[in-house]
Amino acid sequence: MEHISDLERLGTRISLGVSKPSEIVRLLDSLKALPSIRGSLEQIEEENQLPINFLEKITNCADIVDFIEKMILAEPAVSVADGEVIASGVNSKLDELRGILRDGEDWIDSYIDREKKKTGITSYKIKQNRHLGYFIEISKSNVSKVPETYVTKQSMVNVVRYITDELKDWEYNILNAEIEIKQIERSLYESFLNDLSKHVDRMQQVSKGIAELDVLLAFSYIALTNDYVKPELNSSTKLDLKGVRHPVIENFSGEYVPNDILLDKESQRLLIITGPNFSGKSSLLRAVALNVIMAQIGSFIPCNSAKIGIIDRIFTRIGASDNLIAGQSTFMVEMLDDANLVNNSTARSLIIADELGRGTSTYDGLAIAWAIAEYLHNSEAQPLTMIATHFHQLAELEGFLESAKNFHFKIGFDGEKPLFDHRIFPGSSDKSFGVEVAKLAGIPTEIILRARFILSILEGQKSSINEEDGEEKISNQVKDSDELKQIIGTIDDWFKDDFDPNSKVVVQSKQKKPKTKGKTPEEIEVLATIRNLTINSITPLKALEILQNLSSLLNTE
Amino acid sequence: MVLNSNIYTFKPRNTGQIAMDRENLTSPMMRQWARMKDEIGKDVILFCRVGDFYELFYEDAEIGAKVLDITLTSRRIRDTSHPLAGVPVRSVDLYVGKLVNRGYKVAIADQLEDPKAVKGVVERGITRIVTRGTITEDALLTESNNYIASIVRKRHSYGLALADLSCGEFYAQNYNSADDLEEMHFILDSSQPVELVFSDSERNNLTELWGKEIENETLSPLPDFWFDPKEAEETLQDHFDVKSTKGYGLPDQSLAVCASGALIRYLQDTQKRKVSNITKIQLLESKHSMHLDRGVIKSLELFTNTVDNTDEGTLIKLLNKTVTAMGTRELKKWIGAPLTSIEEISNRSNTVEILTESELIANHIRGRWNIYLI
Repeated sequence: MEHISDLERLGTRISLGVSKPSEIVRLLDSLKALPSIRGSLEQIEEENQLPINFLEKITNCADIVDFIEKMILAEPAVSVADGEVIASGVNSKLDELRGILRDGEDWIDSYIDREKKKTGITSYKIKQNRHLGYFIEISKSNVSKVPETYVTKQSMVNVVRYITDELKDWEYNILNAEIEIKQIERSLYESFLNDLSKHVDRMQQVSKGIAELDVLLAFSYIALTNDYVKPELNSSTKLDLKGVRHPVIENFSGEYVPNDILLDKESQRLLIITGPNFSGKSSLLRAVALNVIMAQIGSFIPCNSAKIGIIDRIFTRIGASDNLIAGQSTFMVEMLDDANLVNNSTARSLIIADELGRGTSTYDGLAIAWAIAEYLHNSEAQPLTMIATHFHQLAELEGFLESAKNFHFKIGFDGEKPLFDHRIFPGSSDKSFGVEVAKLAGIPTEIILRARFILSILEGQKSSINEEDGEEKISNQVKDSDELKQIIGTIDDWFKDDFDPNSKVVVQSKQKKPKTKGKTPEEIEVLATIRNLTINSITPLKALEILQNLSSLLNTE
Repeated sequence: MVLNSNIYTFKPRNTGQIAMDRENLTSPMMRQWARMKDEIGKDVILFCRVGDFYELFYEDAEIGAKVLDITLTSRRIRDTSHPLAGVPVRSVDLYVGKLVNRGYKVAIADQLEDPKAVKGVVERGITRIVTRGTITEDALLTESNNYIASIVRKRHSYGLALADLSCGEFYAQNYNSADDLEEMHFILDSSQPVELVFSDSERNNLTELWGKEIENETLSPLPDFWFDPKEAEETLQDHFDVKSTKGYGLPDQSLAVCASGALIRYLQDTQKRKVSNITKIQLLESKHSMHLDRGVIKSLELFTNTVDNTDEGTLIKLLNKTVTAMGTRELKKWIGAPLTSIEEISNRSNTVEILTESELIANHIRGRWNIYLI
């Protein structure tokens, strides 16, 4: 099968009438391989009926092979203009003309022999160039022996060139034959392509069959070489993968540690996986998604055993740094992703979120991660969700949400050097994995500054209600903000050791209340629009559209 | 607004200058050139067959010299100089490919008569137009599908047609709501068309139709009436030799018909012949497959990695143990659209199971069974 050319594209070029003879040869070779493939398939089907009927698509095509072999030479020229393409026996006129050409060469030899004898000239040559066509070349020393019927065409230093009527008559015939041959070959080749194009439908069907067979053969080859298993697909809403490996990474790393993952809509639909960086969180998440994809394209998968309830959509929220698009902040990219998965998840969705809430400062990030995790768990769709995070605090969600479950990666130390286990354990990583957390909180004042800033804004909004007109929405937001304040208060507790009371002063002085004075009507409108947005129900596209409107509002002078 | 700038792949050119030069086109061949140039429009670079070369003139020659790194010369007639550049006939595919991949469109003008048999100027004519979405030369294509998309809109409804001329594939669908629009964008994301045809009057709404910024896709605005329901229906009936397009599941006068008709017409126009390898319209039905949007495809590194955008370390690289070009394309389609029907998946995985059991024969079919004999 590896000798089979791109039948789809060959077929196209045939029906467009632009195929070169060399392409026809490739087509022929491909078609000739079909009987042996069919033979092998029949051999397989003697023992097991294949669920996909390849033999129906990969037909024999012997008639096409015969037709091509009858029409085209086994080794045709690159193009009709460059030489012979059409086989002999196709057109009697063509055969006759080719005969004339072949005889022509014999004729020259016999003409030379005859003239040599007649004239006694030994250095008798017939040559050809673009300018004179065929001509006779005689050395100067023999010029005296040249008959009178010869016409002198050119005199050179050592030789003189002549033509004769007989030679020119012959040349005329040869040239005409050549031109006529080209014409006949060209029209025969055209009608050949036209006839062949009637079979293109069938070739495309063969091509489709070969394509499918090729992919499935590749799957079986990979399954055998990489030790994959056949997954069981069912209509449940569970994902039960035993000993799941990352298909790509397992080939690169020496010893790969498989893990068991169970997601279940009823009892365990939100997995929160904690652990320090480089412990294997990301690759585990990706491994699960890749296994699902591989299973649903019909491949075997790198697991010990697998039961997969059909997934109809996969969402990813993977480290913001991976998705940097020019002109968008990491935070914006992340928010677009988040809005997408929050708004569009289905009952059969699988959500993979790696480092949720990473694109912004730690404090905001944690709050966002918390809220999104909660939302997904409680949403109507109840998607299967895996969240990897180095906010070990997120693990506290398990206590609030019935179907959330914690897992963690462990880390050990060999002196200064960390040792990664890459095995997942139930429960969350405890706070003594302080290295990572300490790193995270490495700039504690900044975090606290930020937290204080948010709080102060929330308070600022409350007080601004009285000043701003027509901001009805804000009273609702205040209700929400009380709740939010509670959460942030909890978060604050986690960081209270790092809290520097002195920073409070700075923050307070930075706080700005919304003002209307000194603003243009456009600016006021823009602010009002932003305040009225319900971010959660906005699609990424809509968000961009709004942004565009806002900026055009501000830029129209 | 930023959104609509930079849309067009082609830089506007100074046409006034050329028009003036054309007044001076005294030789019959150059008049022929000017006539053909008028026929194809100034957007398209004209390769004109002259003996063993394809010659480019004027602004075409300047672009050619820049993009193709060929020598720009000029012929001096009276007081004006006429820029010209040429490439040998033998390697024309290569040069055309280079231009087309940069987003240019190229027209090939061949000699329609045998020069030996004619006195005076040989009759020349455009034999085809090459654009990124209409290439058929194997050498200029990658193993992936090479899709061209046609989009049409009427208020909040949309019609999409998608074709890969090199493989004879043709798809279409109607999208009638905002949800549907997202579906259409999803299909555009996963098929990654290299060229986009649309009605000329939609020039300014492209990002809405396309669902994102136009990057390096070739843009081909077409006359509005090509998208007219009646015109389109007629084109399709004529092309497929059918009485109605209803047989393909497309409602009468629907936008999918408009998009399809215009696309078929464009393909015929570029190939200068019937595109008879396109034999049917298939309905696009991605609801039968898993939804993977572009972000997911990228972040899970299905086709390209996030480090250097190559296929190193990707799922396609791992799984692509196919041995034919069709197989490679098929695999890409499968990975981009995993199935959601248990029956269809089982058909595949049960086949894989049987093939693994018949390992020797299976490897014999692939033609790589020697791997196992070593």
